[in-house]
Amino acid sequence: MSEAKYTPSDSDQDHSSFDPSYKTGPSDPSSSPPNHPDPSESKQDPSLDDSSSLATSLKVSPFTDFSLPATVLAPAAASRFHGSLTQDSSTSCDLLSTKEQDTQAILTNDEGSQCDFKGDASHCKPIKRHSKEDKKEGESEDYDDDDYEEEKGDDEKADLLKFLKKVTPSMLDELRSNLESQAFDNVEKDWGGIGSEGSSDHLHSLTLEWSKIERTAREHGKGSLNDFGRNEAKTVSAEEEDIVGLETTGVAWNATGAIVIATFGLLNNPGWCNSRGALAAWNLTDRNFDSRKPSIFVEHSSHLMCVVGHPVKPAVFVAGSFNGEILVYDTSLPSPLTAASKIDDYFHREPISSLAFVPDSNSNGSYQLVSVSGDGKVLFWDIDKLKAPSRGVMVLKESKESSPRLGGSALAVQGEGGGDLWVGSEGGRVVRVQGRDKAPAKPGKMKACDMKWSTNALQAIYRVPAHQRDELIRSIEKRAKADKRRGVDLSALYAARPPFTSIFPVGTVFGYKGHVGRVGGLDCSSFSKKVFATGGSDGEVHVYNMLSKEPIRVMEGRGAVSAVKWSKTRSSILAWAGDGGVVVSDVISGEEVDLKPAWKENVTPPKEDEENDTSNQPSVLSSLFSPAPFSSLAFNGKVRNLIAAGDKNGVVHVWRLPQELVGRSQGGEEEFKNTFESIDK
Amino acid sequence: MSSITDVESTLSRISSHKGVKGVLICNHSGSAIRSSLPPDETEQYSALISQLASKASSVTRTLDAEDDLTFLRIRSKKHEIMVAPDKEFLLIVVQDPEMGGE
Repeated sequence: MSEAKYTPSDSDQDHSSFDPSYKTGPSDPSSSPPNHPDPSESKQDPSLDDSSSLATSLKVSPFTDFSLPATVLAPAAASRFHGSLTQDSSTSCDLLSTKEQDTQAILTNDEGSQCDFKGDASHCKPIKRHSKEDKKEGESEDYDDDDYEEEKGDDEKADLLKFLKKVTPSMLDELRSNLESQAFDNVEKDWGGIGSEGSSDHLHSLTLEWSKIERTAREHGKGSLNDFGRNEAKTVSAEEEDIVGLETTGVAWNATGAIVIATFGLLNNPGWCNSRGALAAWNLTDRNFDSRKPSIFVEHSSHLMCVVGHPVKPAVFVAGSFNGEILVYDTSLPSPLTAASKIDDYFHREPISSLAFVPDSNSNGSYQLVSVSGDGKVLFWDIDKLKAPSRGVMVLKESKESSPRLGGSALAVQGEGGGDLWVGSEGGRVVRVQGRDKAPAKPGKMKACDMKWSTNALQAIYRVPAHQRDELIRSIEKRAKADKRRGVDLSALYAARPPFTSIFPVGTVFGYKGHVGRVGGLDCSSFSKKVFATGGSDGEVHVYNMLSKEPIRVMEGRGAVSAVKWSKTRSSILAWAGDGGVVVSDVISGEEVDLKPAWKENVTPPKEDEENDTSNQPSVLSSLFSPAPFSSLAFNGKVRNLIAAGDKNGVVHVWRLPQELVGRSQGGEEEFKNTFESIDK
Repeated sequence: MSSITDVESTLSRISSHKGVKGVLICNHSGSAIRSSLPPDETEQYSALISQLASKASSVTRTLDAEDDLTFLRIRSKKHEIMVAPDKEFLLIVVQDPEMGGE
């Protein structure tokens, strides 16, 4: 008996003694335990006849998996799981283990103190075949309430069958369809929360296969390129070598989020740049999308340093060159380069390090382009009139006119008309620049003006300090007359070489702690006008409140940081790219996710036997199989879970971020503002 | 008699289906009535799934008083748990679709 005793695990309740009165069948006298009444005296269960029959039927039943009969288990054991839903605490059913040769049923009740077996060791046989108790157990007639059992026995069986008949077809259907269903294929990838491996999906490694592109560019794009190209005296072979092995210097998405565009050049270029750079765009939604063949590829006479997509026009991009040109591309045109700014002391003469679009202050839906360059100027442009910047401000170390210029390396703009600008410098300084335009939208004519002045030029004069205006107007008109101009427009104004300090006011109004080393990235939050973040080559990422000199949060960037971007859809998400890879961080919780390039099968190294000399093009092979520092980063503004980053091997990576990193969180924006907008500490 | 045989043969038909790891019937109070799973798993499945099913059923009915839960599928990394509820009983089938597919 005792060895066959089953004790429900973890039950601290006493188990009722088995009541053999209804547990033992009439043909089972030998199994009656000594301590119990003779089972043969048991009240006759209406189900007994059936049980006997069942026993017989079970012997021949093909049903093999179902070797365990149901028994009644002490409620305490089952109730661990029942919780509030347990309606009937007095009984519950369970199965007995078949570890032993015979399975014994136990019956317990609330008041009982023992748990016993119906059968003893001598009776050990496979229950299915011999034991009457088994038959009963199999019937689930194991209720300790005799009356209940009597009433329910047959009913329950019938119910059970009825139930099974009802649900079995649908269950079998589901089982079948489950095996064929592909609905959940690959669904695991999305399961990871923030911080879990594999939670971000690396979608694309966009590369330029230089050898192929060279040829197509020469065949199709040469004419258009040469319109603006310089240094065409170089030999073709030299050009080919130039363009191999460039770094990705900037990435951007277009207005619809379908096209990722990248500029190629070298960030560490000494002096004047005679090597060609390039701009390439991949349309990720294109049916013919090929990660190794951009849908648009344009070369330029010098390295390109940064790119920005027009916020409304899907085909328009603006790139900045190493030599200081601003280049407007319309990718819908056969010759994409539509306009380029000149290189001039009054424009940019140093590498353009950052570009941004900002809504016009007159709210007519148009946008101004803001550029910053290593020459310490922030210039505002109308991209349809790139002959001259509409205005500009000087970025100086301090707000005094005499203080030295800062070579701008990063830029962020906020507010209509560029009201608030932040500029990071090559030397690590971070300053706020007053970008608000002081000139009236419709300036009245100045008394000193003899000639006809364009609105833009008049506005420029209004920005000049009052005591310098008359003298400036005279000198400009004198020059314009000498040039035989009919009136004075912006280009005439700049041609007159006005003093820098009068035409470009000092913009710097506030200095922040900054970095030790080049400020690689700067971006303002989309959710708070007061919050911006910077990343520097000192390996730190700072989050600032615009009113506070000291950063509110300092994060370890894992190596020099080259780009910093706030998520456009989730307030607390900040991403940065640099020598340590691409990191997406939640600035509230402090959690960080590394975005890793995942090389896919379709990326295969180039064949050695190709006609091109592989020694001259290390880019494809090495770039695909060795991790490189990242130089640029861009969140997709429309397809909000995509992020692109360019690395120094010339590869553009695109990841799909998990929902946890892109979805708006409830109360998250509130918490973000509470955390970073109050500066009292 | 025949009804019981039918019950068992129906269950065996389900449990012999590709990928099926276990079949159990329980009532709405979470008590198992039939099971092909080991006792401890049976106990857990019947108790937990019956609670979830009654919750799901109540959600369905709250959303639309004339509606009712007819089937419940729970997809996990390892299994798919399918529940066919009825007035009195629940049929629970645990399937490993991956295994069955191989």
